Amino acid sequence: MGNNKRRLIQLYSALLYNAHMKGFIKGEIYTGNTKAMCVPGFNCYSCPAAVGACPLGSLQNALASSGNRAGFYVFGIIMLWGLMLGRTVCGWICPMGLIQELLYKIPTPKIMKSRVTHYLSYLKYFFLAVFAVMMPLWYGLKHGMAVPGFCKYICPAGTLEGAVGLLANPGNASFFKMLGIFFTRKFVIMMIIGLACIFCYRSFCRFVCPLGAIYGMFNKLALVGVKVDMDRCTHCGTCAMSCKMDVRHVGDHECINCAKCMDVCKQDAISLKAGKVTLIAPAGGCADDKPDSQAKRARAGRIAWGIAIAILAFALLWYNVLDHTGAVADVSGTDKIAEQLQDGGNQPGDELPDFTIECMDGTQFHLADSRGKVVFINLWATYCGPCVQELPYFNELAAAHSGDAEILAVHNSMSKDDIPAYLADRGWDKLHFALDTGDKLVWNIVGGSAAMPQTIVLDRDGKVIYNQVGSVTPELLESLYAKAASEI
Amino acid sequence: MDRKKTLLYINSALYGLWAILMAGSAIRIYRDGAAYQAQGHPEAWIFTREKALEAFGTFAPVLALAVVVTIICVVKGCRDEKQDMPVADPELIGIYKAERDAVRNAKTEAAKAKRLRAVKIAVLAAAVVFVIAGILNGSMEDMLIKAINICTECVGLG
Repeated sequence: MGNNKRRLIQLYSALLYNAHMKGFIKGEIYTGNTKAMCVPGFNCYSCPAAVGACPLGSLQNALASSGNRAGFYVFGIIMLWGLMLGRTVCGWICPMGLIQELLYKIPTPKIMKSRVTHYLSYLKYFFLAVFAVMMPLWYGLKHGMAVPGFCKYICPAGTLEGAVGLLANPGNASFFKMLGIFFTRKFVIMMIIGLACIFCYRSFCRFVCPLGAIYGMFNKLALVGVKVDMDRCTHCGTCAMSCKMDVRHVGDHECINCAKCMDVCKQDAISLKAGKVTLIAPAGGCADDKPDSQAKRARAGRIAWGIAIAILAFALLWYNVLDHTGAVADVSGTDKIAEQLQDGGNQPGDELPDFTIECMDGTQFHLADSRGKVVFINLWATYCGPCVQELPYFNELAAAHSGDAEILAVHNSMSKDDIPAYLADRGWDKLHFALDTGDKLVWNIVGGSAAMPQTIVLDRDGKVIYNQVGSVTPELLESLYAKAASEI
Repeated sequence: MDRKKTLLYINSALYGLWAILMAGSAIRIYRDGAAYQAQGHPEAWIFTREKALEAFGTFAPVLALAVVVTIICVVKGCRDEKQDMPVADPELIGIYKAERDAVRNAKTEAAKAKRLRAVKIAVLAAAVVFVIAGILNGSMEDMLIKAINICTECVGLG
């Protein structure tokens, strides 16, 4: 059967999900409208090449926003993928699945499936329930904070594609400033999972992946999947015994529909079907085959490959050459901004150009009016967990240096949330809150990027002394205040 | 132990060693950097590009050696043969047998198919309604906004 064909399809889908190749070169993520669509497989949307959204990341963020509005869209899309493909996604079109299978190819002694791995396979439901559902819901509803628990604490795809993908670009050298305990922990987890995948087939997929757990629930309903012809099946059990996944029978919630069992079934009872259409038939053909069925399937396969290659070629051309509208967010942030500003600058040592912005309480914040004071500008968003976490530190700083420190917190212009309502009972009354205008006035002046939070500190002369993406601590803020206050 | 098996063990030891060294160096960089920050340098960077490259460079020979051993294993055809064999665990075989019996004694295919079809239609209808409701209630736009902005903490940057 076509294990090579499956490998090609895995590679194809990994390329299609990550068609924005120039993102790696520029160190920027894609910000076009196709990111409003979840891809079926596990693929971090902070990967510089990603052109679609990760279903698991989107699900967690939707759950985290449940206080504002139900994330019907994500639920609906995941249900549609599940209904169409089930765990065929895992076996055929998941980039993480491909990476795991390639790691397993490294020749080492292997750990085979056993009763222990069968029990471990239920662990992914724990990760789904606790990290992907309960944690975002709890923090979202109780604290108004977006905490996608699985992304934040575990996801090796986020570490590899998102973090390492962005850090690998020399233009993003300033991103290293942010690295601390989160990165260390996630890096160690990534190494452990990677190592486990070398010895144990698809370890992440079998024991950890919450997306696989979700698709597993749809496996019996899915249109595409491995089907057993019960008239031919002798219930010999060779299929389940030969399968490297923890299946109990073909097509159950652990079956990734890879169709490798077709090779071991001597009765030719197994085939890969989409509804009644046979996609891959056993060597001896299906029971309902007509004389020309094999030839028709081969011809349809060639046509499908032709269309698929044309789509991939168009996607690569579109995302890398033709589409300029999407690639506007410069995540290399502070490293590339200086030349964008003619009247001043936003790098340490530059005088920040003057601006006026209307605050949410109706007053105007005019930067020039704050000369003689230390100014902190914070770029944030309600849906950014670390942003919300650090705002109380700014409020405490403003209270401690009342009259000498002005703090402007500017919310990203893209938001569907009711920000004044969100802020109403937070008690952050020492800060000036503003919503960036549609033309991203402040964002552009201070060199805001697609990464949040970002903090800019100005001394009493309006000169930038600090401009960094990443979370701050109370100690850092105090130190920056002391530095800015002393620079005359 | 035959030579092929020894190569497999050496290979696994090398990859294991490399992973441990890399993870260990990340922990060491973090520990040293955090300690320095705690000594009154809150603006100091814990990780830098140079530190990361140095750690990778230091242990790159281990990885290179592992890759060489992997190539030798592939050329010599060394692989754990049991990965191609059906499971031999009697307990698992017992589970599979019970499962097969359950499948054999299950309700007739026609009754099962009818029930499944009804569930499929219900789930499909719910999914379509959810997508439309999501477009109308703004959750699609929510998703786009989150997908085009990097939440640094979420990808493990900090």
